Formats: sequence, C-alpha cells, structure tokens
Amino acid sequence: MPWVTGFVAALALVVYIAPGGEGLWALERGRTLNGEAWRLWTGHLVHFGAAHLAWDLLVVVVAGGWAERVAAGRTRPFYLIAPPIIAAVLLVAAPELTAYGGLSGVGVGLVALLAVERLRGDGRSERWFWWMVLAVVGAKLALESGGRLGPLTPFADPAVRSVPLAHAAGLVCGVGFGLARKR
Amino acid sequence: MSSRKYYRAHWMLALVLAVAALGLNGCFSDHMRRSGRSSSVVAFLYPDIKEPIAPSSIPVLRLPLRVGIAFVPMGGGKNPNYYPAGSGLSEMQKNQLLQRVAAEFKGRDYIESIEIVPTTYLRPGGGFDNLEQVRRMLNFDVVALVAFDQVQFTNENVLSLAYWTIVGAYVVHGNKNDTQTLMEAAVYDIASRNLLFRAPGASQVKAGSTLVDTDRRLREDSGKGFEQATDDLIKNLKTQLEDFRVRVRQAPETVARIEHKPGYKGGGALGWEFAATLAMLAGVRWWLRRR
Repeated sequence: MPWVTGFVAALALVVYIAPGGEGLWALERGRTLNGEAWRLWTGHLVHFGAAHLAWDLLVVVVAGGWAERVAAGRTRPFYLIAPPIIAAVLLVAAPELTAYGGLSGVGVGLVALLAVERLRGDGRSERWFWWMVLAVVGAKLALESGGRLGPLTPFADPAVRSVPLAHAAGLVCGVGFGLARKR
Repeated sequence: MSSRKYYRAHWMLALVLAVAALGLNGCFSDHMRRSGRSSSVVAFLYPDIKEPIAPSSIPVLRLPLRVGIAFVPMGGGKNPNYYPAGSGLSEMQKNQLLQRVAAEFKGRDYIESIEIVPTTYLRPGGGFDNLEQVRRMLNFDVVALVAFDQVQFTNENVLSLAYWTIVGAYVVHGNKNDTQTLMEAAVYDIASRNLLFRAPGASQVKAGSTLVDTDRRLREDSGKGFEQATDDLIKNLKTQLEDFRVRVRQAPETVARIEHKPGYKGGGALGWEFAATLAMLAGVRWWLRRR
C-alpha cells in the first residue's frame, strides 16, 4: 500500500490550501541558512499555482505509488533522503535563487527510481518502455538546460522561474536509489 | 544607287554600329554603382571625444538582469566621415531584427527581461547621458547597442548588351549585385559605463538582376543581408556571453561583481507535456501487452 506517497500528496495539498504556506514552508535561502532546516523538506511541498500543483502531484502520485508498490524498501527512504539533497544542491549551486518550491525534483527522481528498478527486474519485453521513460526525462533536462524550454507550466506568479537544476538533482537521486542494493 | 554602293553603305553602317556597341559596352562594364548605410556605437557614445575615457570602477551586475537592446541612431558626432542620419533600416525592420535577437536570450535564468528600445528614443551622438535617460524611463540595467554597416555594389556584365533591346532590359540579368553587411552588438553596463563584451555578425549576398529590377532587387538583398548578418550576430553573441560568464567566474575582482536581487523565486514544474508524454508511452505499452 503506497501510504507514504499518499501522505506526501496530502501534505502538498494542505500546504497549498492553508494560508501563509509559502512563507512558512518554502525553501528560502536566508531562513534555511539561519537555522530553519525543516525547509529542506517542506520546500518541495510548496507550489506556485494550481496548475503547478496539479501536474507535479499527478506524476508523483502515479510514479511514486507504483515505485512504492514494487520497491517500498527504496522508495520510502527516497522520500526522506532525496528532498534535502535536492535542496542542498540548489542552495550551493544556485546562489541567485532566494526561494524555491515544487515537487518536480522529487517527481523526476521517482520516475527515474521506478525506471531503474524495473530495468533491473523486468523481462526483456518491457525494457524498451523503461529506457524510453529515461530518455524522456533526459530530453526534458537537456531542453531545459539549453534554455530551449521555458517553464512547462506557467506559474501563477510571473516572477517565478523554472529551475532545471532541481530536476537534475532529482534524477541523480532517483537513479542512485534505483541502483541501491535490493532489500 | 548602284548595288555595289548600296552594299558598301550597309557594311559601313554595320561597322560603325559594331564599334559603337563595343565601345559603349566597355562603358557599361566599367560602370558600377555603390551605396551604403552605417551607424557607429562609438559615434553615439562618444560624439565629441577623440579618446574615450576608460571607466574607473568594475561593473556590479545584479542578477537577474534587465536588458535593453537598441540600434544606435545613424549620424551624430562632428566627424564628417559619418553617414548622415535618415537612410538605412526602417523602424519596423529594426524592431523585427531586435525581436529575433531578444528571443534567443529570453528565458535564461540570469535575465529577467529584455526590452526593445525604439531608435527614436536615442539621439544621434546622445552618449551615456541619453542612455541614462532611457534606462530610467524603461527600467533596465544593461544595454546591448547594435550598429551596422552595409555597402551595396551593382555592376553590369556582358549580358547587359541585351539592354539595347527594350525587352532585354526586362528579362536579361545583366546586373551583378553584391551586398556586404556587418553588424556589431556591444553590451554596456550603463551605471559604470563599462563595455562588458561585444560580438560581430557579417554576411554577403550576391545576386543578379535585370536593369529594370535592380533597385527592387537591391532592397531585397539589403533585407536578406541584414537577416543573415543577424543570424551570425546571434551565434557570436552566445559565444561571447559564455566567455564573459567564464571570465567573471574566474576573475570577479577585475571583470564584474555579481550580486543577486532579492525576490528571485524558482519553482520545479513537470508540466502537462511531460505527463502527457509519459502517459502516451504507457498507453503504447498497455496496447502492446494486450495484443
């Protein structure tokens, strides 16, 4: 039963609906570095618009739910360990970023974890599908990094920009967890 | 008149006409028209100064940057060698070219906005004071000034002999046209008056035309020349921008200091296209499993 995925999705909904969620939970550089360490996890639950939330949640629920059903031993720790790693990468490598939010880094990681897990376990007939999934993730990253793809989902706030680095960090975490020894 | 005298008269006339045609062809072949139009960043920024004064402080660039992009106005300065104002690209053509350049750089996370500045906002020889006025009006930090130089030559070739027939002037391509275009973009930090980097773009368009069609063809070649030079300019601007970023990282104390504006928010978004692509793949997989 993918209860951790369900719990994360519910939390993201609550953070979005509750007033003042962005100020309390977003990954804000200054506040995080001044000791509000919970933002390393909760920052990923903050979303800047209904469309932003909807598409991120869709991918996380489907990919995360599937990954948790077939590899709970690696998916559940992923939800705990990957978010602060992604957040730390952003704090170190994107100093111009003063605030960040969105589950897409975690979502990309879950898709990658699931694909790698299936490639290690699936029969030959299914491998083409999981390689194609990884190719789609790679293509998205390449297009974003080359500046050829603006934010796929327009944020409600025009000052918000897409952060491809979060997706790259999520991908690396997902592949790493996917390759980890099976429990 | 006897037949002998008749034929001699005709031969003499033919000889005179042939010599006249060859002689005039020589005139046509040596005939060349040249026209040109140009603008200059130096003439705009330093109209009355022979040796520009080097800026005394390094630029401070606050990211994300607001960029203005403009063609420098033609004319200006007291140097009589500059082309007079009034000729060259129309405002619409300039706007279209600048939109193309701006589109290539929008969306980068260190660029907040790119504003097209109409040339009418800049005075010939307006200098940094003029730039400062426009900067405050349109609210940008850094400006990319674009200048150009285009020269067009048209020569008549041996086929132009056919122009002697009226039909030939309409159908025979007796003119060879050559359009050479050079553009330059120089990016300045207005506050410190520092040149951050610059890039050129060049093109050459060669084409033939009939006598009657020469002016129209030259206008077409002029537009094509600017389009191709803009393509080259964009390519070189990207290279120079990357070089500038590397230089800033390696030597920030001598090239430029980077600061970050507050309020720069980022979001991770997967979007409907990514979800739809994965869903399509899953659909294909499901359909193949059912077969």
